[in-house]
Amino acid sequence: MTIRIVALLALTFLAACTGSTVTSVDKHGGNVYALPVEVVDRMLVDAMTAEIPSGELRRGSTTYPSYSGEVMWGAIDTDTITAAAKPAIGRKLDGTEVDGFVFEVSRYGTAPATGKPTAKRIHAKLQADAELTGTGAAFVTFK
Amino acid sequence: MRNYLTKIFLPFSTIFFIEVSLAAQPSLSVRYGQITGIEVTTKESAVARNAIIGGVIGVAIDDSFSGALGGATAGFLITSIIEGDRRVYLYTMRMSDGESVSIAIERPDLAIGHCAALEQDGKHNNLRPVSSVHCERKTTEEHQDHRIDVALKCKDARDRLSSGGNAQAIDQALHDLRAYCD
Repeated sequence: MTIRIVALLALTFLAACTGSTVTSVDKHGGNVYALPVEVVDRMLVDAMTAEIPSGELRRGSTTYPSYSGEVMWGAIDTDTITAAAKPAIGRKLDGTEVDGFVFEVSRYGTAPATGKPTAKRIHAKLQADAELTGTGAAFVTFK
Repeated sequence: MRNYLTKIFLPFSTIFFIEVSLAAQPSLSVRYGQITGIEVTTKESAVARNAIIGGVIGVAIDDSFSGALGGATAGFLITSIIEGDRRVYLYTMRMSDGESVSIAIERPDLAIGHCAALEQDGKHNNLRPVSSVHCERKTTEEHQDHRIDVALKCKDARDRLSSGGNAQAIDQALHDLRAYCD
């Protein structure tokens, strides 16, 4: 009986896991920001620590800059937030291509009520800072 | 590169301020105007209409086009713009001298009646909301110096970010960027 209850709870937990991604690039295009990798790394740290304590941040295992951390909803539900700067190619208006980064913030877990708005805020902060740098070029493709 | 550095550092010299006061050919100018019209459009359309291209769209234009966003280059720019661009906001401004200016920029947070500062230094064009006091009466030299100072600090922060550096330097540049460029 206990096993059944645990299995049922586990199934419910797994079924409740959802994920979503906020990105500055979609089918309508978007911007690639031609910034040095160390700058986008600091931008990610800065944006993430606005929502998640710096001591709880983990550097991602990706080859490009990324950081993850958890947010909670209630005592059990948790969302993992990951902010990343993906290498991409952008094109200036004159047609020349530039290397840069696209910011993406994703969430996955059982606390979308907390995770979704947190991911949106982190992405909004990254995007706002990136726009201020004035280094944007139109997205062409990911590298 | 040398020209670029000259553009950055020359304004800090005394010579620059003399040049500004004489209105000869300032490296960076700040003009004020009231927003009289807003249109959501595309970059192609904005370029076709000879609007000043600002913000991210503006700096995406290569150096070879700096200061030449007028009709002569518009045809080329239209054909070279890539597909899938996002929408931009075409603001019409009535400047304090009565001139009407159009600027296309991606920021959507200006409304009709707002007072805005149009910052131009050849390649870079920026539009930002400012206090209505700048549009109500003729700007004093002191106010103008203040705005130019802010614009130069914004440019300096951008340049420092473009060159990277250690974490502390980047954090400081990001801080300055938010303080002076927003």
